Formats: sequence, structure tokens, C-alpha cells
Amino acid sequence: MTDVIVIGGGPAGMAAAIESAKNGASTILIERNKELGGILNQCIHNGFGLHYFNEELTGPEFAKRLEKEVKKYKNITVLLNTFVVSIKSGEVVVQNQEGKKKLKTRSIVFATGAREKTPASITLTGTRPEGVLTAGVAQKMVNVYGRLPGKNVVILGSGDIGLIMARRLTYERAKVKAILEINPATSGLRRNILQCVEDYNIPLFYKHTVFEVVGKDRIEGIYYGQVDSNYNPILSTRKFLKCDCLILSVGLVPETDLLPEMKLMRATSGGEVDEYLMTNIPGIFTCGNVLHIHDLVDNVCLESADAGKFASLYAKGKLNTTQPIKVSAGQGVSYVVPAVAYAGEGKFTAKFRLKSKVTKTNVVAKSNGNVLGKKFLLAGVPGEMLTLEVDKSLAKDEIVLEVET
Amino acid sequence: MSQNYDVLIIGAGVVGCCLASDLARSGYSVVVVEKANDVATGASKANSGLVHAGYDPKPNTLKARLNLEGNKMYPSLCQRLGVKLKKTGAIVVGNDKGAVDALYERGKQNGLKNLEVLGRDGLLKLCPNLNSDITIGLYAKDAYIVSPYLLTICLAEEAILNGATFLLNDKVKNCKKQGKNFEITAKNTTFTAKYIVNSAGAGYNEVAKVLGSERYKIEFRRGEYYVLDSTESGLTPITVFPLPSAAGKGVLVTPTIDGNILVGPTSYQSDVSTKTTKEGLDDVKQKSSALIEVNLRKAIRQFAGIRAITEGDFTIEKSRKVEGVINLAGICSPGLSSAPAISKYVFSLLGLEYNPSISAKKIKPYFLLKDLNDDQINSLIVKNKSYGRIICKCENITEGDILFALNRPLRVNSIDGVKRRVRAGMGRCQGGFCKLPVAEIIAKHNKISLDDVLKENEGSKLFVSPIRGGKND
Amino acid sequence: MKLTCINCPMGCTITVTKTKEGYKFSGNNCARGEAFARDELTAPKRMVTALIHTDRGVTSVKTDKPIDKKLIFKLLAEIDKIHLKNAKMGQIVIKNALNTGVNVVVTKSI
Repeated sequence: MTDVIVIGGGPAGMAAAIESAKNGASTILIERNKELGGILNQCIHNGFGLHYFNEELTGPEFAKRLEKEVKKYKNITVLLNTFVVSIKSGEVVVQNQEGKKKLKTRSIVFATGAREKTPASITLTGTRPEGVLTAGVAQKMVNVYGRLPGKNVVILGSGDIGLIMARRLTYERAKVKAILEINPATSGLRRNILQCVEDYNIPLFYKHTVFEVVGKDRIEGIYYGQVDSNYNPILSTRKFLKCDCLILSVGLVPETDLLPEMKLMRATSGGEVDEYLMTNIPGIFTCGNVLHIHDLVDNVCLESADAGKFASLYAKGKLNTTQPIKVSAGQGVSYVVPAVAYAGEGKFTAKFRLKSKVTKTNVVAKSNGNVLGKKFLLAGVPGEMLTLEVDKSLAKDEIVLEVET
Repeated sequence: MSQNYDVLIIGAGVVGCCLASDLARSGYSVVVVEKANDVATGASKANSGLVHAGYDPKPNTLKARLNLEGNKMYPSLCQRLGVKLKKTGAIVVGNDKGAVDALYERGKQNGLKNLEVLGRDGLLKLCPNLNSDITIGLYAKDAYIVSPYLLTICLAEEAILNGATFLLNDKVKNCKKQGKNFEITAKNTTFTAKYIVNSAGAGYNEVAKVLGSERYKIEFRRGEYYVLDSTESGLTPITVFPLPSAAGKGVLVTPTIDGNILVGPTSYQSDVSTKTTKEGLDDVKQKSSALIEVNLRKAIRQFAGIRAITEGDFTIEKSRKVEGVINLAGICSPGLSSAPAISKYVFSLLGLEYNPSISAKKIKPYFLLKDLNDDQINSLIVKNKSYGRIICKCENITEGDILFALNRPLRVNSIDGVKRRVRAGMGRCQGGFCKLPVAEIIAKHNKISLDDVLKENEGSKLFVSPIRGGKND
Repeated sequence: MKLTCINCPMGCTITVTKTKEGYKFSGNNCARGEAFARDELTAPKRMVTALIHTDRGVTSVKTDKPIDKKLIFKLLAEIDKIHLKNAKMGQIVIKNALNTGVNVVVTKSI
């Protein structure tokens, strides 16, 4: 019997395992790949670690830092090349080259990350040739396999991975012919628009999308054009653009499939958790991108360290989960994590996203008219995850996070 | 020295492969020429995967006769090949009692037995999620679901095991009759054959032109589909059709043999392109909602298939222009259901003896590690460590499963080829996770460069070039 | 004039105003923001990350400091020339690249 099993050896899983081990819990960290680090290993760009390590690092360096930390702890057992087949309270079934076996545990941290939205999930129409791929796959082709998926590239969606890939492919002397964004604004970080797109004069078209993929065996081009305010194509704007590669950067979905019993939050498609990051299934905690999609790996690690800590406390029977209070998103807030806090002394960190862009306004957490936390925002956009310290000692009833008008 | 074959089959769809296997197992020498890189890449890949009971075709047509006969042959066919076949039954639903009664009568006329007209209560017992407007329907018990591509692949493999030759990525460039034999020039080979069967599907007329045989007026109809995530498998345990119209059987909702839900197809006049369209997919959405409320946000793929249609019926006949050629044109629905019966019928047209030997070689059935029990799984992993490595996370497909597909009688060199055989890449991430590892496994096993692994056909390589620099420059 | 700081993912919007005493900066949350804005106005600099070839496949490198934006493709051409047997994280593969004082460093061992 182990105290804590952490599923997923990316940044979230590693951070959780480290914190769990720090608290003296016997910990097993399970990773399906041959090395720890998850998707960071293919993110060779810089910009990671400023908050967590106080140093700017590339993805592989960030992963290595965490891995070194993991290896310091004798009470962490790392299982590589190991797949989790099923999970239930107190038990994880794994499969690797030694066979299929059950592992008993007191608690579980579910840190499986996210997967990319596919052409099918956005109903991309036309043919289905080679050369249409998601940004993460394109990134892996280039950065891990050292091969180019195309030399004349169109990118659909202006998510951060897509923007990073625009620069990456430009560095490899491929031509990024256009980035098409169906929304009137990008979901990517402002800095990435500047240093990945504007620096290289890559055309970025807002309110534009791909109407049709053309090509039999390999993509030969796309029909694209503008969309109206209901996202319907305006056919009179339809144009052909020749390309040999179409990269999709249209968002991530929490990879919750291994845990179908987990209650999901509508707005995030990730788990619904309490302030200890515990799901509806007792003893199963979750964090990182499988809980909600983050912008920064640093924030993933901070959150996951909490999950690791609480999982280890749960394993020791030291987690108080009496007198639950609902936490919900109010005006101007699209979601808030956690969904439940427990009455009593102390604070918890609420993570949330805005519904729309705001300037010079307060975000407040209130319960029964009492203000439990308040933060001034000079400027805020939905693309950035925000946090608010909430003092729960005064909360008796539902806690609502809202933007002040 | 050129090879001499009894029969040349052009087109490796389900009909061509079924015929190839039947001929090979009956002791004839067979060569199959297929222009694509794998078998089952045309209509045999992109259809509803249904073995129809046979109430639908117009009585006294080839379709009616061969559908019913084929339907009866399916259980033993699939058992022989070890291909999964599930008797789900089918219901045709609506609120027009007259139309349902007429369909029932037609079924009786076609010789069907297990048919029943049901009211709403009876239908709900079969499919609890039916739309509230539905009041009446026809229940056909003898309808099955099957993987049309895995069936075709197994038939091809069985044919090869029993001596048939498959020429993939190939085509008949020239064909001359020399005495009783045809002298055939393919891309890189020449050979002779006594008979030729044109089962080229959508490419029928193109092939007929080379053979000098009859060309027909063929209409292409594109059918667009949604495939739903296996999480939606509870939607219906039975195939649900609307009442048929002139355009065909209509947009249906059916479980697939692999646990997904299939919604479609449309029926649009088109060229041979298998593209999907917004109009088509919107049409599927709207029409399917008349049967069952389907959550299309759970779609993991959309695809389109082409049906080649000759007016009224299948066109299966001896060529009057070129003796020794058999024309198979317009094998649209119920082509899959009829395939084994069509094969048998072609024997009679050729004047050959349909006599598959009971001692013919049998293929090893496909299986997936995940379908075994825990003890079997553990003993297999101990014997073969590649079974311990999961490659496709959505479908739980291991390296061992993929190597099994690569070690079959018919060679595989494409990602899609692996996908059709063992489902790696068939899940919700659509190969995002496993595509590159699968490519590596193919490259290593086939001893080719990763750069030469294909998605599907020639011209579908995954990469355009290595990155710059190093020793490559 | 407004600039987006690219030093970290916060991406502060820095407002630059020209006064008699020189440039004045506001909106940045740290000193790095001001330094970035100063550079951006005179000689914009960028961190560069790229790939090098080794006998064991490709691996990643980075500049240890930002480099003049105009020199990026020149630097990439230098990086292209590298082919090593193997590479160790932290290993310098180009010292004082293009005489800028910037080194190119391996970020993943292979």
C-alpha cells in the first residue's frame, strides 16, 4: 500500500509528487513515456520558470529541474513506460512491460494533462489528406523528430502553441503564409503575438477561418475567408491559398477519459474540485491542465504542489472536509476553481478567468455581503488565468467571485 | 517469364477480395490489381458497416436476391475469418403506418422471415432514446454490424494464404486478347489471365476503357458521416433508419462493431471526391435529430464515402464486347451485405465451380490485447514484451497489436492501414498521440526510413524534409 | 507609445513617454520591463532557441542572452552548421556568437 500515486509525469505530476514526498508520504509517480517531463520536452522555446524557479528556462530545462528534484526523494518511486489502464478510489491498474497489475494506494493525484482539439472537434470540412495536423504534433515532428511537416504553412487558430510554431517553422525557413483566427481577438499571450508573429511579419487574419481543405494524398491548399458574428462563413470572401501543411492550434481539452466517474465542470471540461483539489471521488485529487487549461507551466506547478500536499494529508487522514460551502462564478467571471471550500479559519487561492476584457476594476469574493478577498485589475483578458486569495473565515454561505461594476 | 492466372480481379474492395478468396480456395489461380496502397480504400472503407436484412431492395432485382443470400452467408463467413459480427437488428421508424406496412410487404416479397411491425412501445424496448415523434416502425431481426474494412482485409489475407497474388499501387495499363487468354500489362509486370473481373467500384469505367468492355452511366453519390466517441455507445444498441426515400435509405444512427456510433449518410450527387461539406454535415445533424437526439459535439471524426450507382440495380453481367470479362458496376448499398453472394454469382457467370475447399488455409484471427482477460494479458506480455507498451492511448492499442498487423500475409506500410487493422488512431485524439510512434514501428518493422512511411497512398508521406543543417546540408 | 514586454508571460503593456530628461516608462511590473523597453526603442533583442543535429538525432539549444533581432537568421545559419556526436545540457556549442558576447548553449542532453 502506497500513500500517494501520482498519474502523469509532466510538470503537474512531478510538482505534486515532490510536494507529497516532502510531506513524508510514500509516493509512486507513473509516466507513460520513457522520460519524465511530458510535453515540456518538445517545447524548446524559452519563457518558462520565471515564477517557479525565478529563472527563465526552456521547456526541456524546466523539466530537467523538476526531474532532479524528484530524484532527490527516496520516497518517490518513478514508473516509466507505464500506462494506467483504470483508476478507482484506492486502486490504480497499470500496464507495462512487466505485465498488468493493481497498485493499492491511500490517495491519488490525477495529473494527466490535456490533449489538443482535433480537426473533427471543430468540424473542419473538405478532404482528409496528410499535412493537416495539430500544433503539438507539428511541434513534435520538428523538435523531436527533426523533420518538417511542410514548407508552406497555414496555421488555423492563434493559440500559444500555434504562435510558437509559427516562429519555430520560420526559423527552419518554412514560410508561414497566414495565421487564421476565427475570433475577433487572439487567445494567445500578447508577448507571443509580438515575438512570434509581428517580429517576422506573418499575416494574422482575425474573424477568418478555413472553409475547405483541398488535396487528395497531401494537402494542396485551403479555401478560407471571413466569418460573420455567428461564426458562419461569408462565402463571398472565399479565397484559395496554396499550402502543403495546415496546422491547427484551436485549443486543448482536459484529458479526463481515464476517470469517467469524475464530475466535470461545464466551463472547463475538467474536474470539479474542492479547495484541496479533491474531486467528487474521495481520495482522488487533480491538478494542472486536466483540471483546467493553464497559460503558464509555473502556475501548473504551484497548483500541483498543493494537490500533492493535500493528497499526502488525506493519506494520513488529516484533511478536514466538513461544512462544505459552494464557490461559484458570478458576474463577469467565466469559471472559478475550486467549486467547494470548507468553513473555518484560513485562506484558499481561487483561480478564475474573466468572461470578457476589463480595465481598472476590482474582482471580489463575497459571501453573504462580506468581502473575503479583493484584487484590483489594471487590465484583464479572458486569455489569462487570474488568482485571488480568499479569506474563508467569514464565509458561512455560498462564496461568489465577481467583477465589480 | 510471365505468370499465367485463371482470373484477374481489378479492384480490391470487399467484392473483389471476397471473390479472390473464394476463387483461391476453390483452387483457381488469382491475381488482384489495386490502384491504391491497401485493400478496402474506396466504398468498402467508407460505408455504414451494416449487413442489411434485405427488406429494402425492390423485389425481383439482383439487389433483393443477393442481399438476402449474402445476409445468410455472413455468420459463417465471419466465423471462418474470425471477424466480429454482431446481430443487432435494425428498425425503420417514422409515423407513416402506410409506408411501414408497404416496407413490411416488400420484405415479405423479398423472402424475409424475421420481420415485425411495432408500435412506439415495442420500438422503445429496442431503442429507448427514440425521438418522441416516432409512432411506428419495422423491426428486422436479421441485420448485423461488421467492420467492412477489417472484413475486406481478412478476405484479402485469406486469398493470399491460399495462393492469390495482390498487386497494390498498380493498374492494368494494357490488355490484349491472345487466343483464349488475356495478355495484361501492369505497371512493372506482364501476365496472362483467362478471365477478368472488373470490380473497380468508382473506377469501373476507367478500367472498362482499358479492357474495351461496356461502359455504363454511373452516378456518384457522396455520403457524409459523423463518428461519435465510444462514450456515446449507449445511444442505441440497434441500427435505426428513417423510412426510405428515393434518395436511399436515409440518414441512420447505428452502433459500430467497435463501440462507436455512426450517424449518416447524406446522399448528394457528386464527383469522386470524398470531401466533407458544411451543408452535408448540417444535413446529417438535422436529419438524425428526427430519429434520436445525437450529441454531435462528441464527434471524433467526420468522413465521406462515394457510392457508384447504376440505374435501378447492381450491374453484374458478362461483357458482350469482350468475352471473358465480367462487369461489376454500381455495387452500391447493399453491396457489403451482398458481397459473398455476388462472389458466388460471378462464379456462375464465369462457368467456374464454386467449391471452396474445407481444407483451405485459415487466417489467424485478428485480436487485440485489451479484449483478453488479465491472465491472458499477463502471459502474453511475459512472452512478448511489445504487448506491454501501449501506443494508442485512446483505444489502448499496444505495440504488440501493431506488430501483429504488420506481420500478416498482406503487407502494410501506412498509418491508415494500421488504423484499419488494429484501431490505433481511431479514438478521440485521432492519432495526435500515436501517429508518430506508429510511424516509427512501421519504419523499423518494414526496414524503411521514417521519411518513407505513408499516411495512406503514395504521395502521403508525413514529412516534406528533414530540418536544415547538420550532415543533411 | 505602448510596448508589450516579452520578458515573461505576464506581457506587461509598457507606456513610453518622451520627456526632456529622456524616456519615461510606466505600466511595467518590474525593472526588466524598463530595460526591455529601452532596448526595444534602440536595438531590439530576442532570445533564440533552435535545434542542432547530433548522431543521435536533433536536440535543442538556446542563446544564453538575448541577441540583436537583426542577427537572428545569421545566428541560425551558424547553428545550422553544427553536427555533434552527442550533446550535454549546458554545453556551449557556439562561444561569442557573431561577436555579440552571446553563447549558444545546449538545453537537452542527448
